[in-house]
Amino acid sequence: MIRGATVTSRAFLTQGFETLTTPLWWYSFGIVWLLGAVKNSAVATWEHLGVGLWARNLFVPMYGQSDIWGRIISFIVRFVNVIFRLIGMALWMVVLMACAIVWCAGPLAALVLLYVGVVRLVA
Amino acid sequence: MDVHSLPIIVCESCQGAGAVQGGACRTCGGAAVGMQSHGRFLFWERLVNGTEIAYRQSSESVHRLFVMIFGTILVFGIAGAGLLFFQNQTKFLPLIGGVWLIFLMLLVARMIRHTSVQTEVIPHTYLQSDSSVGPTATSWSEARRLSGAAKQNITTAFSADLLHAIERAFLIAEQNHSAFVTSSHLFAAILENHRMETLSMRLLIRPKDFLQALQPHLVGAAPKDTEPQIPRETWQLLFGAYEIAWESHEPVVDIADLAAVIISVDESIQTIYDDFEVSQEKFANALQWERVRSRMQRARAARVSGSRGRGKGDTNRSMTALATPFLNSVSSDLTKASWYGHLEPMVGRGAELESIFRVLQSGAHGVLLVGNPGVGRRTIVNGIAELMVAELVPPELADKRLMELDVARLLSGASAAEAEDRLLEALYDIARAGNIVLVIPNIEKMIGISMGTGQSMDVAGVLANELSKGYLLCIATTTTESFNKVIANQALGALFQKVVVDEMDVNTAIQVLEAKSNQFEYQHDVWFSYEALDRAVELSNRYLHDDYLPKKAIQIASEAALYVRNRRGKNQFVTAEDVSAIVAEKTKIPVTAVSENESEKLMRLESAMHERVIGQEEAVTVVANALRRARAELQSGKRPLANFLFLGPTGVGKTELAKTIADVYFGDEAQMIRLDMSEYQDTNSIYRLIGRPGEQGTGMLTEQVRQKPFSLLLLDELEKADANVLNIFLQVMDDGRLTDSVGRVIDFTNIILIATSNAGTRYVQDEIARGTSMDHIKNALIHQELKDQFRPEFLNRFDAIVLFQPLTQAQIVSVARLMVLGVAKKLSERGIGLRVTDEALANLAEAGYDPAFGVRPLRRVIQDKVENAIAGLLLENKVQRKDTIVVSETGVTVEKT
Repeated sequence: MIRGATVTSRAFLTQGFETLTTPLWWYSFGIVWLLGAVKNSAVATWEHLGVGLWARNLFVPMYGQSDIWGRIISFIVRFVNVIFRLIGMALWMVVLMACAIVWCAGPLAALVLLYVGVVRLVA
Repeated sequence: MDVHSLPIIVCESCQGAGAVQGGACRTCGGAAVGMQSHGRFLFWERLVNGTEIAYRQSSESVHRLFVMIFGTILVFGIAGAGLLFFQNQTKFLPLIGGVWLIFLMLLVARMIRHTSVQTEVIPHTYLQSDSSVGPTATSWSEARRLSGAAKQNITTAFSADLLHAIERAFLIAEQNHSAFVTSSHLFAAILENHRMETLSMRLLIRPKDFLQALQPHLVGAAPKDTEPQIPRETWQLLFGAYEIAWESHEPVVDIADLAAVIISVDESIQTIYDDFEVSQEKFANALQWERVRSRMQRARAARVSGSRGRGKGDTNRSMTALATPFLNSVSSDLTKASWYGHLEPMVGRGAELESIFRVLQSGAHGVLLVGNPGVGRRTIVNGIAELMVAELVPPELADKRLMELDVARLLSGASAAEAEDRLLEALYDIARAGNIVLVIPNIEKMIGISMGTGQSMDVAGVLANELSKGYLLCIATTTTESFNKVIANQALGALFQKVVVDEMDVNTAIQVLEAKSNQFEYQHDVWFSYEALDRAVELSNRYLHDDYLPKKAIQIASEAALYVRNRRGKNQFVTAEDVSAIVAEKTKIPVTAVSENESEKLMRLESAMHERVIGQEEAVTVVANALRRARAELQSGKRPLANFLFLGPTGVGKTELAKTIADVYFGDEAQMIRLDMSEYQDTNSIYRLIGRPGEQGTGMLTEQVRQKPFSLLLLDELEKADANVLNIFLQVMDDGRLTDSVGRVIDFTNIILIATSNAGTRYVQDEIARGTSMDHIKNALIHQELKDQFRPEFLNRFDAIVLFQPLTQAQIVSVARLMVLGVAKKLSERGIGLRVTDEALANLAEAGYDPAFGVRPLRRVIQDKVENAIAGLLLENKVQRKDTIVVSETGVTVEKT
């Protein structure tokens, strides 16, 4: 019972402290975690979109059409594909960057909102 | 693996506790216990003591409480903001927004920080050069200097269930005042896990009963409030579990791994399982059931994640491949079937897969899987498809389609020329597409089909020709028999690299059944006990010789599931006895446990046999003992149930005793295979016994035993057979098997072999006349008289050589009574009675006895004097139903009712 009470208060204290120090974690270990998550997502998306695969096969005729027109059309289609897939990748990177920015700006935004809120209330 | 020899080092400063006086140990840095293994320093960094366990539990509760509070605030924040917005109270919105954002970030941070890190057991590395072996550590000072990549906290590779069980073990030890956390505490905690509970149920053990038996091993005598310590032996078990997971290529150390280690070292737990009739091997196999299930779940997850990037269509990811419309019409896409989860999972067969991949990587264009029907050639092909979908294959197979050619669809309804065109068209599709791996099941079907006339090609020839061009990657299957008969000498055979698919061993077959049992349980709403699966494999392996494992065991298990569902209804356990009943029904072999009735019958076998055989006490006793041994399964299982040589003059009951055995033990006189050995007097007659070379089903002996493996084999007049013919029986009597002319191994382990011989009869009769004792006669017979007829090693193979004695006058009367009873039985079917006076019986016996011919003349006398007279009465209609025919000294008369 004594052990139970002690550990429960210790758990509350630890997690309370953890909650209070969240801003510090947010900009230290949190950023490290964020970078890891962004990297993993970017790699997975690159694999999923197969940009590298399409780029590597840029001059390989599609569907075995190895005559000249087949090669030309294949190159065009592959080139367009690479471009669109790169655009897709870029868009996703923008989303990831946006997430990173939101992560970094989040606490500041909260502070600004609090400040504005208090000022409005006082006014 | 010897757990006790694991080179673990326990920190001397903290004694493996990881902490000293509330702070982390300075010597080990909290790592507590460590071991250098697989090129890394493995350590245990997770405090296991009462306070820490309680703290972790509290911490989890507090975390949930915080999550709930933050979540509630966020929900109410949105609701409140919405309400204020609609009431135009916008001046509060920035403040609420700011607070809401803060709580959102607190929640996000909390969720990220409280997600436990899960790593995997170190993967196997096959190509490790010297330079890749990193720095090692054998002491804590060395270990602390290692980089993060050179060490692993093994607790991060332990499953949540296992970590929870370890904490529970500590609490169980504490509750039972034990000074140490021992293997028994760990096992008790493991048994609390729901998956282990299910496993116990499948072993037909109630977890409660097991825990009760384990209880005495849990209790200690430590003073109250003493915190249990984790001794070195227990650390070795925990590190041993990691090693077992590594050896089994498991990515996570789970409950089953620790259970396997404990059962291998803890004799007290082994003894408890023994008391529940579960051997160590049986428990290990049952644990595999749990592993197989987790592995299948993981394989499914890997398939799903691996197949995400893979298209379902005909082309590959780089879109270089072509559509194959014609090939699609004569084949089925196994990769697509696997993508949709339509193929059955593969268990075991890692070695065969490795061989196949190695062959394909070596530049060969064809792999031929050769194995007997039912060994799982098809399942291996399915396994390849599954790995291709999960993209876990060598580059040669990556991003390709596995297409199974349907030979019947390819050739059906086509003229010779059309068939050739079709095959070439399908191959042309493959050549153009470039992303096809072709599967040809039972390739022997393509051999021997000629197209057109004259100089036109064989289908196999067309295929061989195309295969040699090198554009085609092909996996074909065939049976061992077909390979030897038709493929080995063909051009096609030379183009393929042969990979032999052997019949599975018993343990792997059990694992296959464990994987398949799910399906039967779901289909029939029943549960399989472990015993049932074990018995299905054991009995099918022993008694069903026409099929191979695992197929035959799968069929038995499937039928047993249906049998239980129909007999006992839903949600019942399929037990070993249910499986035995199915096998007994199929083979007519009494493989079920000996029932009380049967046991009684076995105990009075002698009297049952004496109902038909008069005298011959020694023979009856020897035979009865052998039959009891056989039914109690005390024989080795590698020889026939019994081998007997019956010696003696004609007409003394040798054949009659053999018939009686067939009736009593095998349930029917017809369960007897009788070979008159006088028909096998020259060397060439061997082929009549085992079949003509290459011709199936022509062996008189092998074919009959194959069809009736549970029967009595009677070799009459053995001395007349050729010596080379007798040599065949040397192997039968010694090994219990014989290979027939087409290479099939025929099982003789469930037959009773009885050979009869008149050899030495004259000698026996002379010696009896001289009054020599039977023992002396028998010895002299075996050691002198029979030497000319049989070789000593042949006589040595018999379990017993029984000398049948000439019948005495009194015994002849008894035989006469038995024969007359036979006549009476036939008459009673017509409602007519038969009475024979004692005097008449004595007269018949006297008239029918001839020392040289035994009781054979007696049968003729009864025929002449009794049966002929009765036949006359019946034909003349002098006897009606309910009348009694009386045989007396004066003759045969009718007693009217």
